[in-house]
Amino acid sequence: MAVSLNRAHPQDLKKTIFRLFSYLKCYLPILIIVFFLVIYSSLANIVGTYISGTVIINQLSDSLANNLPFDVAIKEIATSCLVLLVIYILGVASNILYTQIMVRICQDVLYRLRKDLLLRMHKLKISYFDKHTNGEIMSYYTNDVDSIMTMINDSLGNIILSLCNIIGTITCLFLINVYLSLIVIFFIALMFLCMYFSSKRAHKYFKKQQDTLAKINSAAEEDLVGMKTIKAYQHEKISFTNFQNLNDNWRKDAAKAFFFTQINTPFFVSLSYLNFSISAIVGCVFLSLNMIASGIGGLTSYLVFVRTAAQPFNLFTQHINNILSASAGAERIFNFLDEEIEEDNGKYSLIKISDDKNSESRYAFTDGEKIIPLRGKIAFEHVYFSYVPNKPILKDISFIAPEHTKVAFVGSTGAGKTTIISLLARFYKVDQGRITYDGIDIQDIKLNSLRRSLSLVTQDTHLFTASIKDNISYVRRHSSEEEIIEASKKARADYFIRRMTDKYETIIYDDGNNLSQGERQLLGLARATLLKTPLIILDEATSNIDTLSEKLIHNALKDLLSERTSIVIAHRLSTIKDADMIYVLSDGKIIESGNEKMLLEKKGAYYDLYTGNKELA
Amino acid sequence: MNLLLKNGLNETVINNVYTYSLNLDYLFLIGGIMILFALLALLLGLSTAYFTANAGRYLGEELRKAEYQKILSYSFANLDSFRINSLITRITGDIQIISDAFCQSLRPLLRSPVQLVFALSFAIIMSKDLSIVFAIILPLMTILLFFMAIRAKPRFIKVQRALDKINLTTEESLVAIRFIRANAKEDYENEKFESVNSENKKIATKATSFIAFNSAIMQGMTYTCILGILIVGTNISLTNHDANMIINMGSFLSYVSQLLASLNMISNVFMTFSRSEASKERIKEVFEQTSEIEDRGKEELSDSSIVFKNVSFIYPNHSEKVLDDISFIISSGSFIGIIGETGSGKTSLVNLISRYYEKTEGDIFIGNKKIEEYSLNSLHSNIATAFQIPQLFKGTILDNLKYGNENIDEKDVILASKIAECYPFIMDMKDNFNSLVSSRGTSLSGGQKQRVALARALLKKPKILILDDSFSALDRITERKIKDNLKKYLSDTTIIVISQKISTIEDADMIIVLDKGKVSSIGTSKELLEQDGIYKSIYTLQRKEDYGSITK
Repeated sequence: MAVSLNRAHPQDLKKTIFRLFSYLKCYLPILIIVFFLVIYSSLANIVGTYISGTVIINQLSDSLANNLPFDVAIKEIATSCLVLLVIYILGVASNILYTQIMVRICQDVLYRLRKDLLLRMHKLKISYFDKHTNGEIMSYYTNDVDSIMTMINDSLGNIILSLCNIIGTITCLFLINVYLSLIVIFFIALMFLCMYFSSKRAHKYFKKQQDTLAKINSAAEEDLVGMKTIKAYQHEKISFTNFQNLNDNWRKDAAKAFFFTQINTPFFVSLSYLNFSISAIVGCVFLSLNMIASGIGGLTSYLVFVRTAAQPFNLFTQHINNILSASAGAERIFNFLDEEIEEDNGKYSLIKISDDKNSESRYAFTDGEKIIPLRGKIAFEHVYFSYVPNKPILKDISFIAPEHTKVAFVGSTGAGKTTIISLLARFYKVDQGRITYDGIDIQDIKLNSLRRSLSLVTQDTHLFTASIKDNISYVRRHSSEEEIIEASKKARADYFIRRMTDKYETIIYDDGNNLSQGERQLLGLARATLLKTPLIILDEATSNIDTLSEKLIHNALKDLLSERTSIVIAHRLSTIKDADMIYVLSDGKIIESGNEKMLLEKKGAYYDLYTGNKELA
Repeated sequence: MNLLLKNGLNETVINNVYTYSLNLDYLFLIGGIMILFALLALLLGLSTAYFTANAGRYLGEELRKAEYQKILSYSFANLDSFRINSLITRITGDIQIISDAFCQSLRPLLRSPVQLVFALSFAIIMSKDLSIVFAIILPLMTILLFFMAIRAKPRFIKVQRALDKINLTTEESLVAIRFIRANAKEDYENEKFESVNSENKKIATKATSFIAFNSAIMQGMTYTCILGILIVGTNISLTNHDANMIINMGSFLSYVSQLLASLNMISNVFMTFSRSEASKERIKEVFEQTSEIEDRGKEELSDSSIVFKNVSFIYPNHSEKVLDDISFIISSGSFIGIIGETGSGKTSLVNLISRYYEKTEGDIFIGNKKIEEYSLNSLHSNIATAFQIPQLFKGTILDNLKYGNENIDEKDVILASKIAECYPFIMDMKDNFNSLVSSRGTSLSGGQKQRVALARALLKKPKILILDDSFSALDRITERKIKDNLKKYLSDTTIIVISQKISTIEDADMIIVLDKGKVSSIGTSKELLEQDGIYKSIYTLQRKEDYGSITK
């Protein structure tokens, strides 16, 4: 284990800290000002101590010794006090200035980190989200970003200060006696060594701590979302044990992380006392051998410096904790920021070519030269696809959905219906073959443009914490209120929205938990109605709408799908019976195709499904 | 302690150096003792680090554990009163903040008061006149510190609230990530996050910049002290021609720095605490919620007849009646249908039977005993509800089926999944019962989720089975099969089925028709069709469509 530690972490730590500092680059001019303010603030302290301790006391004893009259003596001393006052006021002012600047820089860095996280998140490959839980990803935004805060806030200024102090003291030591200062150098080297080793260990555990925290976040999210089920099924004990296991791991890692940063302090204190004792003893021996030029006075002031040499180290150790915790969080964040993003090198983009609402095609794809009006014709040409190598999900899928036709897919679970749609929306890339939209390979269309030219309605309607109105218009944000209401009426969602307390202004919480599955799907259809794309994809979009409402929306759905190309997946055969073409999928292959009449006459797989000889899912 | 010892020893050595004592044996003896003490100090310091780290982290672990247990004890109404994203921060980030605060503060908190007392006593012994400066500055400083700590708390509560919002926005983005991609709404999401993020930045800047003044205040106070000592000292020594005072002033000034260093440490502790105070407050809120449902009953449920007598229900913190004067009798082992429009109170009604919520008025009897007489455990283990939104968890299909009772026989699992008609598609999957289900069950279709949830409910071997719209995503044939299976295998179980589809419940022994929270009518399908009520209008409408679609 020690070997892997040596190999893996120091570079990581260095790289992470450098990358974190790169976030500070843009504040360089201000940071230089901060640097001087910090130096001034500490100088004010030292000079102040000198004036108060030496100058004023000397003036006082002089005037007492010379029996100066009160007026004269006080005048001289008052002047010194005034100088002191000015130095002090400036010192406090610079302190206020640099701490306030640092607070702002710090929050700005955190803000930028969060922003970068979200920007990246919305570009990551969809497969990333197949492998990671929501709670895990959310942890980056809160726990990991949080871990960086204290470091920039408090530690940066103090580190500058300690480094300056260390360099200053070492210089003074060398000036007094070269040989004696070698002892000090030796001990400082020991301290650095000690810091190096403990930091390496601490970093490892800080990383583990943040990892476990993310796992706790993930478990907490899943458990809290399903808490009612947990209670109804009396799963409390098992949920608790699982959670407690993670909690226990957290405690162990977090305790170790903190311990390894804290051991620096006693080591440094002890080392500095050893340093002092040995310096004192050797100093006395040197003195007896007349090896110190400035005699006893030199030795005493030397020893004072030896004592002060330890102080910046002490200060430094207090901030190691913050640095390591920050670098652990930052390392996780940077790993996330380095995850692979969706490929997007298309050259075709979507443009508006007509403002006329009744025009046949108001939009077109263009690569700068050709302008191809949007019609919604889809073709799959010998498409192969697998999520995991060598486990093909789709095998040689070819079909054409001409414009303004309804194409349906049926087949049992795992037959690959939803995968076809995922490929069309380019959530995944085909392994072989190609998919075209109006004759253009979808790989050549900019992702954004491709997705804006289709509307996808799935069985899960995702709702956001916002009003019903805003939720419907989510897909087309500049819709007018009339358009929203019209779309809701068409989708037969209007009647239940009107029954809610604030009607269209009712705020939805917790992913619309208080709405039934059917109501949610009606909202999903209202969204699709609002969008006027030439291609619409329905993936079990009406599976949860009760028969009563389905009857009502039947005609609306017909309206919605007319004048558009539609690709429909549904297990209710009634939804797809009027499709121009029905494809029966089995094990990733199209085994039958035709309209309902043809398929029923064939008495094949579709007939079995229809008559209930085989089950649909 | 070791601090004082070392200070004393250092003085000795320095004194020796001062007195130019060249007795080398003595020198080495003293030096040896010093090294010994340095080692002792190391040992003590290491133990301090060890114990602090463990104490602080155990505190965090215990708090988190207690919080989780508390949430487990919540009633459904308690759960409704928190947003999930807020509870997540309360159980992760807030605890981390408290544990960190404890770890970082413990040492200075114990050390600085000792230092403070020693420094103060030395100062007073040395010169009472000069100590007056401390007598003025120290209370002033204490007041300022308290003032800051008090003012900082609400600011940090706001910060944590802003973090909740960040959590909410990211969670919603994540849940809907495919939807967002499909609609190319990434830019809008970024925009939405931008406003939450910059709001958070503003609030956090306010809070942290406020406590950042702490360091300047402490520095200012130190300087005021120094100036005060100089002024008072000068005045006294000049008017009294007191040379002693000058020497006292010198040493006094060196105490000032020590005294104020320890005060500075205390003030840092204060600020750390006032930040964690906000988190403490939020965790306290979790602990302060208590379930309104009293679990005093001891009876075990055996008979499964259900009686509602004038039951009304209002959700906690709401005013409108969701259920109004509901009365009916269900005999043991019967098959009951509940039908009614969305919002008519169907789900609320069945949730009262298991005491997930507490009825507001009236009485509910199971097996002729009031439900309050049963223990909650007995109610929950004998009544199984398949909720409207089937909640599956990350794990295997088998984990999800066994959910809540690990010691289930494999035969039972297979039987239940056959009854719920999920056996065929589970067998179609690559790893059968060991196939993985993703978090929230997103890898399964709506119909599959419903069937797994149904099988899970069956595996509890309940006396009362409640199916809340559990067939909504199933096709007619599968639904028919499941209902036949239920009748065949669960003939002794009282089954209550909520549905909006007539076909699902028309063969029930009794159908309860709900309308706006009231019982509109009760009876068998045949009886209800003879009346000209809601049931009949739904029936006519749905029949028409059925004949139009399936049986061509």
